[in-house]
Amino acid sequence: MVEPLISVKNLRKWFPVRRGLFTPKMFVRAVDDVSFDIEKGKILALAGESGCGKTTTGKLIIRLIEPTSGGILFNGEDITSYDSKRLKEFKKQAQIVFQDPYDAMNPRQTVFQILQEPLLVHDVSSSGEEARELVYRALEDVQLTPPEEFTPRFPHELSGGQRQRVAVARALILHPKFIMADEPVSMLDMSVRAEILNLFLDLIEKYDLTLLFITHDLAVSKYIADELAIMYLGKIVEIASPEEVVDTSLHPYTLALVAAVPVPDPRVKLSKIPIHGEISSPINPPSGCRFHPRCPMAQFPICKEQEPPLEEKFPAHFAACHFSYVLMDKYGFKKG
Amino acid sequence: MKKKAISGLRGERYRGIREFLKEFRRSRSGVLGLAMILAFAVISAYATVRYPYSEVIKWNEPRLWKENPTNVPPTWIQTIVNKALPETATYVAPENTKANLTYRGATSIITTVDHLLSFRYSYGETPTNVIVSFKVQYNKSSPSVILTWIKPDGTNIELVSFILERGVVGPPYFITNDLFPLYDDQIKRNLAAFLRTAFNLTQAGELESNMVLKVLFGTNQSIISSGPVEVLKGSYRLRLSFQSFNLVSDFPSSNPVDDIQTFKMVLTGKVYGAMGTDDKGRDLFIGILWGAPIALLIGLLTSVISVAIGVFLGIFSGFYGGTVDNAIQRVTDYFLILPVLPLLIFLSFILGTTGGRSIWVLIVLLSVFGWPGITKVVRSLALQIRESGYVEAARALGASNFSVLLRHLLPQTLPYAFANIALSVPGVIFAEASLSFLNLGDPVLPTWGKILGDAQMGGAAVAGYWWWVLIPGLCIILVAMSFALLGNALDRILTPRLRKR
Amino acid sequence: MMAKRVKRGVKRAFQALANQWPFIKYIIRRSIVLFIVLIAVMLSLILIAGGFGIMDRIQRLQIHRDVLDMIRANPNSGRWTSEERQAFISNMTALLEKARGLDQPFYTRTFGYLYQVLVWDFGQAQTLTSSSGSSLVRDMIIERLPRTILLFTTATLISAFIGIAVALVVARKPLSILDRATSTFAVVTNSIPWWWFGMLMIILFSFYLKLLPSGGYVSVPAPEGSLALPLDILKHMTLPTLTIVLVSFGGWAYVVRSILLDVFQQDFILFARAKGLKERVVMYRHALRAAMPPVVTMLLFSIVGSLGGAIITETIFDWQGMGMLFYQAISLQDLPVLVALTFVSAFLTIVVILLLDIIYAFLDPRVRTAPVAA
Repeated sequence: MVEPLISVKNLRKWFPVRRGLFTPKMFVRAVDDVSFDIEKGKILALAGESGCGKTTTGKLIIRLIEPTSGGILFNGEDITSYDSKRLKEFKKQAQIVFQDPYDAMNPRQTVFQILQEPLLVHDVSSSGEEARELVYRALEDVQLTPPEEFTPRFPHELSGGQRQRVAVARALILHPKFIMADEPVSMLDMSVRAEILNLFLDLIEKYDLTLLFITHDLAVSKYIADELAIMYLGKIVEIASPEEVVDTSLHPYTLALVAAVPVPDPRVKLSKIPIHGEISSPINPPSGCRFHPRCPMAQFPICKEQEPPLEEKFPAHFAACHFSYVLMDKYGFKKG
Repeated sequence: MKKKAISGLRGERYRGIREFLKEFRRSRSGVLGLAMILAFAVISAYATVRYPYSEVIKWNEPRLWKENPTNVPPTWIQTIVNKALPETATYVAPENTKANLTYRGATSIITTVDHLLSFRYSYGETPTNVIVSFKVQYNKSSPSVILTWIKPDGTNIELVSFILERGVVGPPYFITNDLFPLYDDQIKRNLAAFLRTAFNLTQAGELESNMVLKVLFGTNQSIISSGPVEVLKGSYRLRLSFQSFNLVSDFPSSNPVDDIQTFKMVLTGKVYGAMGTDDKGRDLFIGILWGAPIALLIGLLTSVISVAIGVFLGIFSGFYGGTVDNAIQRVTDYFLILPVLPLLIFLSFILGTTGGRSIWVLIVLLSVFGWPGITKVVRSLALQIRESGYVEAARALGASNFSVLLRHLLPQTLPYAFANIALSVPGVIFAEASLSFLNLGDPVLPTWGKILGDAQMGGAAVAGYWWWVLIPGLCIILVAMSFALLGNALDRILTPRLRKR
Repeated sequence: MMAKRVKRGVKRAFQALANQWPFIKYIIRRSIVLFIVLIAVMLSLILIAGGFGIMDRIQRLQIHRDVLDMIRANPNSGRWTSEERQAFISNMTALLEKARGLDQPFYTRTFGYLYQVLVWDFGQAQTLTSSSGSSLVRDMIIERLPRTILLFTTATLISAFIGIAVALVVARKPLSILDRATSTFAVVTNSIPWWWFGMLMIILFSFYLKLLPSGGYVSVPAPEGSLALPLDILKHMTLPTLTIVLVSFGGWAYVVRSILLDVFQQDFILFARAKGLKERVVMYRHALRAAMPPVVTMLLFSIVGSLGGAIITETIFDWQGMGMLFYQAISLQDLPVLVALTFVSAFLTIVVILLLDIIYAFLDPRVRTAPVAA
């Protein structure tokens, strides 16, 4: 078995919340005991609704935020124990592309200066000539050519797609091994999305990158990812290949999520799977299975009492539900 | 997408600066402000060169100004009122009008020197003051001098005759004497006597000061009448007769060198200089001119210090947050709630009684009250930047706090800081002017505020000495306005505006 | 019948009070803050002054006066020799110093001073006296403060009034020639110090035109009569007020104009216009009312700020208010008066600023329920 590039074990991030001077300390359990692996050269998509903890997970992996507990292995080494010097080295290897390309760039810097910053931070390339070469290469990689035309521009002088390309170029310029992309296409127009997604695919092939792709759009994950994980209230409820997750969901939440995606065919009626109620608070998650207050299938006491573990219900298909077999029966699977 | 010809390399690195310069050039008020400031800078440079510091501290020594008229307007008002007004003139008796005579007797040597000073007077009005100065040298005994005033119509008036005091250092003794006919009692008595004998007027023992000039310069008719003086124009002469005695035994072979060394007269006019004089006769041009470099120095230095402190604290406060932030906020609020001028006066007064009161103390004091304003704004700017996406991106890159500060926070704060420096200069200048007006500023240097304060004490407003008030005030206004214009332009260009995406 | 009416009236009064309860809570909260801030600031000033030994010096001056008063009151003192007199002075001074705690280190007396400052007990002046002959500093201040308030409040109000009127005219046609002229005028007059302009005005109106008196609060001798005296004061007030108004109204016009333009952008103005209301009604009833809170704030701030500028302005015009007292104290180096005036200035400034909060809350109800950052 090939050692995965990234291995996350029992990762937890609890944010302290202060209500007042006299109330006891409470925590927002943003990420609660999450474990998964990402193999080298693969793309893992992390999907879920807003506030489920996917962005936090992504930021934890590149240590933009510090975990409350748990281990993160990068290339076999536990990065949670890194000191500041090794951490900086690590950041060279693991980069991030943000959701809002405009917000993620200093509006007063030219494209050149934006791309130059990683080089300056990590002391790469001493001469100005070398730096410019690297910047131009990076721009060419993201297909912004000729690079000289783009380097003197300010972010507001670029279109949304171009901005995001610059953001990707910035992530690439240090030749990292891993990129965490936080909903990189959510703020782009539909027509541009495909371009950027294709760009990612090309780059991954060209540079042998590993990608963690955070999104709330299942269609996008189906297009780009090798594996898809669904998160709910800080926990992973299902991981498998995108096709399997979408077409043969083994968790009721995934089912509802998939069913909610509108199909552009007026003849197909949306069979809505009713989820009642509001999403629960991550401060005080429900007991047992977190989804049980809203789950249409949860009529059994076990759902309220015991938290379902994430288990392999089917080869390379994990789900966290006591009653996955019910769904498997529906699809006609045999428990493997 | 507009394809602009952005010249390659410079466009990449320095585009921000180039865009700013382009916009600045377009702002008319900004350019105007900058031009005015540069003009003042040039004037200041000229002032320090033409009148070096050693000259300027003499501003407060009255004896240097005694030969100037007091409270007179500038010379150029002659063109406005279309009248020729008497100007200040100094007349020195030349060597060739001196007659030396030495008489050697049996036991004593008598030296007589006669020196003549002549001048033409053709103004329609009398001068404001007459000052006669002479320097004599003698050996033994106290010599006698007689000063005679000869008018164009031949009238001889013996102004004064007296015996000089014995000098301290010598022999030979050098004595300098200044005579002020307007205030000298002896001269006034002699003039009164002259009036009695020449015009048969019943005149009191001593002539009043305001009559002296009339007698000296007026026609006979106007002397007699009580109306305004009509000046007798023509050639005037002033004779100084000097006589000294020596013993032959002291000078067996040679003659003593008793002599008149210098003999001059100053007639102070009704106008003086480019900006007139104050009540001590000081040439206001020098004072006002020197006000420029002082104003610029105080204004800029204080602003830079205040803004530096304010920016530093604001960044610290906003970027690092926590208890440091809270502490700095409290201190800032404390300063903002205090009334500035009363406290400045209070502190200035206290410091004046204990230690020195120099221009540097003033700068420190003004800086202390200057920084709270900008701290608040920089802090909110720092907070905003701290939460922004690109700072998060920089952190994701592995940039340290310091790196983020240097690369993102500072470049965004600096433009605002510069605008603020320009904008705080007017306030500083006004504060300094107020303090100097109240005599709480630097006691030596002539600042515009101090000149105005002197004007108030000299009753300039009530007496109508407009040149003493108008010109220093205009200078203050012009400097303040120039910095306000520049600052406003900078603020407009550099402050973040909402960009339409 | 009456009883029922009374009962209803009382009930309504209580209800009105209860409705205003959040506001009253706000007032109470702010008053507490005011009190704390006042004490903190006064304390800090006392410590600063004390650090330089100023407070003690004033005490010693007072003791010196008291001792001399004692000597004067003593009928036998005329017969004392100079040694006896000297001995009495030194003994008595030492006694009084000990009684007032001057032999202790400074901080023991701090709270005593604090109390004095808060009740405005400032002792006696060195050389200055009030016009009624009292040498108590408090009397001087109380006598002069109303005059300062009279002059500067009137002048500020008139400036604001004219400024608002101009702004209303100009805001309707932004960027017109009139508008730009107003802005330029504002920028220029903002750079003019009031007091300097005052000097020029005196030269023009008093010296050259001989229209108005050059200064003073009243003519000397003051005219009698209930009508003649106020008229005389008014005559003397004209030149200073005119000066202040001419230099200030430009600034007001400019700022109010900006506020009005901001208000015009808001939707409710659009709605009012769409309703078909006359432009004048829109202006006055809607726009102006929305612009009131910041304008009133500025008004009060100006009145507070004029305290500082009052010092020189009053001196120029010989207006015997608090500002001029300050000037005289500086010239004569009258320490007790100087210190007292500093405290009073800070006192008044803080009180007015915190009063502002309450007035602002009255005008803009949104402030009352928002969490107050202490």
